[in-house]
Amino acid sequence: MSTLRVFVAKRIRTMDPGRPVASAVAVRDGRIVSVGTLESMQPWLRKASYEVDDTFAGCVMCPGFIDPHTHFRMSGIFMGLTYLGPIENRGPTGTSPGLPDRAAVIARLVQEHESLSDPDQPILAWGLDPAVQGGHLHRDELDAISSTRPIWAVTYAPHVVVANSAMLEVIGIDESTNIYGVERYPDGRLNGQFIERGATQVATRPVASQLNAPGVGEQAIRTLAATAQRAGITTTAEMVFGYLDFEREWQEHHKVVNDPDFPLRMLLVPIEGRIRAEHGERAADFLLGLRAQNTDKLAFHGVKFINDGSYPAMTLRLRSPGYLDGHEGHRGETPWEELVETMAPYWKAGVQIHSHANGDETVQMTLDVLEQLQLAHPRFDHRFTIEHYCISTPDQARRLKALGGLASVNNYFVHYRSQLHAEQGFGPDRAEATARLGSLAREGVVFALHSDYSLVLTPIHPLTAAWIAVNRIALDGKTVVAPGERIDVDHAMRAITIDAAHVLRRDHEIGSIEVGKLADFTVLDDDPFEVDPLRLNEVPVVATVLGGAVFPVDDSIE
Amino acid sequence: MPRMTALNAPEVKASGSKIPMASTAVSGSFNDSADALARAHDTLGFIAGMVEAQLLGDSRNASRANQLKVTILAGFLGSGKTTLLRRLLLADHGLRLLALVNDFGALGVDASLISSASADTITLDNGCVCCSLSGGVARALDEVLARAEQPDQVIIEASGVADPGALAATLEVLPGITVDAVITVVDALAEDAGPGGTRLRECQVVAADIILLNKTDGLADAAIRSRLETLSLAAPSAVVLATSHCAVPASVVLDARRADVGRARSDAPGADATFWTLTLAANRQHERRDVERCIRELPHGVARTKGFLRIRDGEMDSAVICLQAVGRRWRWEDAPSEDIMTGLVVIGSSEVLDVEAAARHFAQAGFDIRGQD
Repeated sequence: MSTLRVFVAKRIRTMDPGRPVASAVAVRDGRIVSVGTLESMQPWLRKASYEVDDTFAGCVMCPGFIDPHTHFRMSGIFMGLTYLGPIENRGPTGTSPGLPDRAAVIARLVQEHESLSDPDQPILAWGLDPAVQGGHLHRDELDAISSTRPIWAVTYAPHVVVANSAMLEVIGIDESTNIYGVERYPDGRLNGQFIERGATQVATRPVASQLNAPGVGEQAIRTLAATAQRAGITTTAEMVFGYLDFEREWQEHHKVVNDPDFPLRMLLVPIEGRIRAEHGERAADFLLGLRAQNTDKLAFHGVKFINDGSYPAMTLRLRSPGYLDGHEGHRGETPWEELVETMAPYWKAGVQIHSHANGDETVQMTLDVLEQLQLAHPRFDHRFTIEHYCISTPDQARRLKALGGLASVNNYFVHYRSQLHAEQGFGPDRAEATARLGSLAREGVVFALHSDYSLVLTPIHPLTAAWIAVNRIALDGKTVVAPGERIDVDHAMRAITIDAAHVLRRDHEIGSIEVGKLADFTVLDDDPFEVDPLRLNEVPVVATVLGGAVFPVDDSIE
Repeated sequence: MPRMTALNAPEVKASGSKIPMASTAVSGSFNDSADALARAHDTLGFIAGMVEAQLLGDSRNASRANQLKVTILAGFLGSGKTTLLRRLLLADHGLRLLALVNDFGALGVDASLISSASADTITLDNGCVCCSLSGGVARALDEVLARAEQPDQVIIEASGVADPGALAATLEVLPGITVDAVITVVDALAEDAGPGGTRLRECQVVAADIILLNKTDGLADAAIRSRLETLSLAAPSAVVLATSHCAVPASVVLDARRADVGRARSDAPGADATFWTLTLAANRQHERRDVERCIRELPHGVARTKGFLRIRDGEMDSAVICLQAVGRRWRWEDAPSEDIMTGLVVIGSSEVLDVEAAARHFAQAGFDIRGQD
């Protein structure tokens, strides 16, 4: 029998309401054997050889944080690009400072060029703003940085591309090109600028290929997972699996996630449209069959539907009076009238349904669909989850409870975008009341918090999501929006641990520190239950533990 | 020199130091964070779209003799975009159109003109089809391409908050698809939409080939001129036209699959009177660069130039190819055969440019006038 390893901490917040606080947790073979104090767990310690690990003796431990809705691969391929914009930008490898002028842009490119060890690796950059940064970059300027390494940079809308000579070669374009919008110097030479859209498309093709190249998807998953780990996350769920290529994405995740150095557990939730396109009526059976490949670290789970657009792009669907300017949002790939029929096979087969609904019109439709499903085929503990749930009403929370449904909420927008959308898009009523967690709490609906990282480009940081849930302070730093929708610290912490596990149907394995569960912990420098709630987001993450294996947090990256 | 947009960029606070996430909440300015997110989101959408389109494109055998022409119709709701779309679907242009729209209800097509309807498709008596666009334009187009019967042209109604330039760039990557024109309808009476609204409007104008400054009836000439100038500065290659009720001939807005050398047919009362058609003979060879320069330097007011020319390109043998230009943006396409009659048809707005001035410009490039009306 292998040795018991006993982690001791200043305090352990178990998220087990029956035994909420401890100071030691004993782990063996990746699972929890006992939680309590060194004294209380003597019956175990007497029976086996054990060692006390006091690395975290001055820290506070809680269950590993769970972000149940992310998109590492899809957004990760973009996140690897070099940022050249004038405004500070938060990326997965840290915060990039704004580059306010041309000199700063060039300096950054030089820095990037000198930091890459592979001389052939291209620099792919984004965010240029010629209006602020002294006009468009051009070929000779970029050649001065490197005449051999291909450099490609795209502006923020209208998406003009600039390239150096080496990149022009990669693009496959020469001086005799007759494509409209490929610009030239006064002497007639190509100047590296691709200004009109046909030209931009040609210039971007090799980059699109590059982003599809072998290895890129894997690197995307690794990079974003590393960011998640630094935020204290131990489990996440990819919510649009199979969007590009099911088999290929499976190979990538299988390889990356099963590496013992990979710090997260991942659940893969396939996107229904693709599964049905491939498997037709056998789709639900196919999903059930996938479970044979599940492990503790990588598992298929559920099925995902998308029924409207996104919050920041303002393509969600609203009920009357609609958007401020009267425009309408999108509805998603499956016509709403066909949703009951489309969801029914999964519902009946016991495949948990995760249904994206950002706007209140979509939430209403989703509740109607859930009601129809229940009427036709009543189920308990189905865990039908409305994903995002950004704009909703209190009566909808009541219906959700009555129908047995759950919510997984992207509440980051309450802080980052509610004030913007009060004036542009949704109007003040709906923008301020984004993410009505208080209403869900009053009705007793179990909910989780998530980031959608990084499709809507808000950060991935569960303690910030919790801070936002507790305080609802908008971006100006002082306005509390819809104060009655705040929840308490305990509930917010549940939403990033045990309740998130419940949403993913994993609460028998993770989400709290209890005997028999997987030994996944987040180690903090402070107790989130004791700090000033206004500073909940500032509690430092020291390390994560996955199945007993320690992953320290790299402090050098912000 | 590369052009700058006339509409101003958002205010930028240059911050050199790293700000930890927590205190950004307190010290970051409202516009900075919102703008940073908007920019990143926009670029992510652009690149993701290109990647997806490329993957889609790769998955199909892509040698198509005839490219499917796509028109992107952009503009905020209330600008008159829907009026234009409805008129195009119902007009007598002889084209089989397929429109991809966000919402049928808003389109307001009279029930008596509908021959059949399902949840996501409406077919009109004249053969035009209207499909509901429930997300995924690239895939919707992919499906259109897979059909046995192809429409003559596809119109995509871009959402009021879409970046039509990014959409156009993405669609161009799909083999078998050519974006014929991006048409942006601008409400001449609209107030500035506030922070973020400017950015959206900038996207839509900058990407346009044809800008319809709509709802100008009732506006003073000076006011119209000043708005037209601002728009022209922002989109120098585009054709900027002042309209009311989006009254422009279908042949200006759409491109027929067959390059008809005929009259600009009208479908709205009074629309004829504001557009002239110039027919040019092309009885000799032209150097490609000369023709491109001619188009690049077109006076304002020329909406479309199209036809077949015998073209020489430096050392290469001459060939008959098809010229398609919307405003000053040109593209070359294959001609169906070497024997096709050469010539150009030019359509322009008589309010902006005299037909004689246009004729002089083309004469300088070596084209003879065959006819005009």
